[in-house]
Amino acid sequence: MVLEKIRKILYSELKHHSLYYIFPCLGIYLLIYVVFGFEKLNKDMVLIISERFLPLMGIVLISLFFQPEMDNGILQAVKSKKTSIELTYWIRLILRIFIYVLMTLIVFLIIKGNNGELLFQQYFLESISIGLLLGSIGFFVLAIANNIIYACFSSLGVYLLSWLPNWRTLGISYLFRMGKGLSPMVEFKCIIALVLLVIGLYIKRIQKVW
Amino acid sequence: MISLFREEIKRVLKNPLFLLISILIIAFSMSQMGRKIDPRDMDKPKFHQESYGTTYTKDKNIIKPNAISGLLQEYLSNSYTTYPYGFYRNVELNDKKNEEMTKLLSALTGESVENLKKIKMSDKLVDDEMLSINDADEYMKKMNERLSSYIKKDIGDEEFLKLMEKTDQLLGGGSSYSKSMISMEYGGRPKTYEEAVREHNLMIEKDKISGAYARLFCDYTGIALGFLPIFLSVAFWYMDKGSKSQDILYSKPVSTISLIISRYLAMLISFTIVLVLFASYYNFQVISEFGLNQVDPFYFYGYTLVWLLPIIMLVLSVGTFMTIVTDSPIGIGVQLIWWFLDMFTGISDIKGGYGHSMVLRHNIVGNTMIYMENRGQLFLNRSLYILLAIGLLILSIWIYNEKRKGKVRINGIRKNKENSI
Repeated sequence: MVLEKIRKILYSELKHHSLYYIFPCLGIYLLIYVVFGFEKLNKDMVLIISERFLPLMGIVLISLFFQPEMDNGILQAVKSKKTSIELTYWIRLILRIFIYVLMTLIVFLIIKGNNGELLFQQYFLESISIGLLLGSIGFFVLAIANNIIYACFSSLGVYLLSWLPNWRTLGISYLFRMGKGLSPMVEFKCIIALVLLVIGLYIKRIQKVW
Repeated sequence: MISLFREEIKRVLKNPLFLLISILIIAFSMSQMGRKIDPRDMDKPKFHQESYGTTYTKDKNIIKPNAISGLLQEYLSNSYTTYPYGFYRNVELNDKKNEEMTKLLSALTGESVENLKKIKMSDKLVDDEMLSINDADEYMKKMNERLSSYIKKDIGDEEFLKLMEKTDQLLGGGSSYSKSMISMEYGGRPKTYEEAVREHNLMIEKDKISGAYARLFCDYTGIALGFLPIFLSVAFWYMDKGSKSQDILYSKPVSTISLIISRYLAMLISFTIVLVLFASYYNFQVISEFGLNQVDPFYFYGYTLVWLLPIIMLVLSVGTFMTIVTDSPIGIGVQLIWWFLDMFTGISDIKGGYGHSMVLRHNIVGNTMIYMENRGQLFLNRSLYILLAIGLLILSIWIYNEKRKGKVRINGIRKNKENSI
């Protein structure tokens, strides 16, 4: 029974929402291919891809999580279902994160398969943690402000700060750490991301008006 | 239209996003340019100064040996550095392309194809003598001597440029042998005292001091303007959908042109006012530092309008167009990618030159000669971006109008026959 519910939620999320967000992610794949190619990438190029390009998929997939309800006015329909909205959201969120991790993994496998120079586990985990953090910032802002533009603005703003030449002033909040020979702080970023996701969902639960 | 415009101006000014974006634009520019201008930039060069900086010449007699030596070095290690779209990329040629490169090098140096292959195989360049050199400068000098010894003939300038262009194409573009990069990479030489004085005099006489600082101001502010205003533009059109006021707007007894133009102008004028005020901040500093008789108090505003206004126009147009067409915030992503690629591909013109970039760079106080030589290109570039912005706006008006009539569905492309009666 529970499994059937989960299956339905997953199917509906994939069919009606997630696919819509996978296309921009494929655009990021294309951008990486055009700018860098995938063949024999050296360490520096892999780091640019993993730290600066792949996490953008996290923003697309996680930040805009509540967009379907906001755009299409289907919140009441979702709420009227027998399945609790919290469970629906959690399952959908896990699916989004799973898609993000999978899409990042595919790029890493392609790079590795084309004799790319990389420390697979370290680079992969750092990339995922950056995307999760950026995505969760947007998610949190969207939950509070109910405004997609603010969500994009906040996560992209944090992302772009790390591109500035005077990045040292950012301290621990600097994102592209391995590229500068710093400790990647994967756990730190993931914990912050998790906290923001949980609080964001909680806020959404107690919000009466969207 | 005037009352609509007034309403839109009020909405823009009251929008927290507008305030936030304005603050970010100012904060970014200030973080790069500094809170105060540095008046030492206008100091006259002293005779026997340790260095007067570097100048990049187009003199082929300087560029040719340097570029050919550089190419030979990369050829021998089969490792070529390129920057397609501004990002570092290491290119390793396969056998077929290597063969082509050998032929190109043979034509450039006058060395036979067979000999070049032998040199490549034997790796004669790095022998015990080279390995024993500890000093980096000395090592480079010795290496250049060895590489130069393979240049057996002096080819003509035109043939040289043609072969270098082919080399760049073979490497997939973005190499230091490309037309836009070759002078920057291989034409560098120390500036002489006379050149430094001439450059200084140009800043005083032609730039009236203000122009030199205004270009740096436009360089930094342009970077922020190339992306940030998109949020406001997308927000305004996307909010109609979020607040479900789209249908009300569609049915309002006001023309589509008035609706779009008034909103667009409201955003454009609001940002322009912020920019003019921000430019005044530096303008007044220049005036108080050098005195009104030495500077031109209008240069800052002239540069701001000519250099920066087309950027805002284009970014706002992209936001308007993409949001009206797709009813989604995808315009932000589109502008982000455009901005990234534009910034990184335009890096070869960072100190002036003005290619085809949306964000024009002039990351130096001075280089007046480069500015004067390329002013025509700058005006052409800005005019084209203004035209592009207007073109996108006209398209937006047309699509919005079709939507109002019910002829075009969301996403702007598919015709909905049922509704188009």
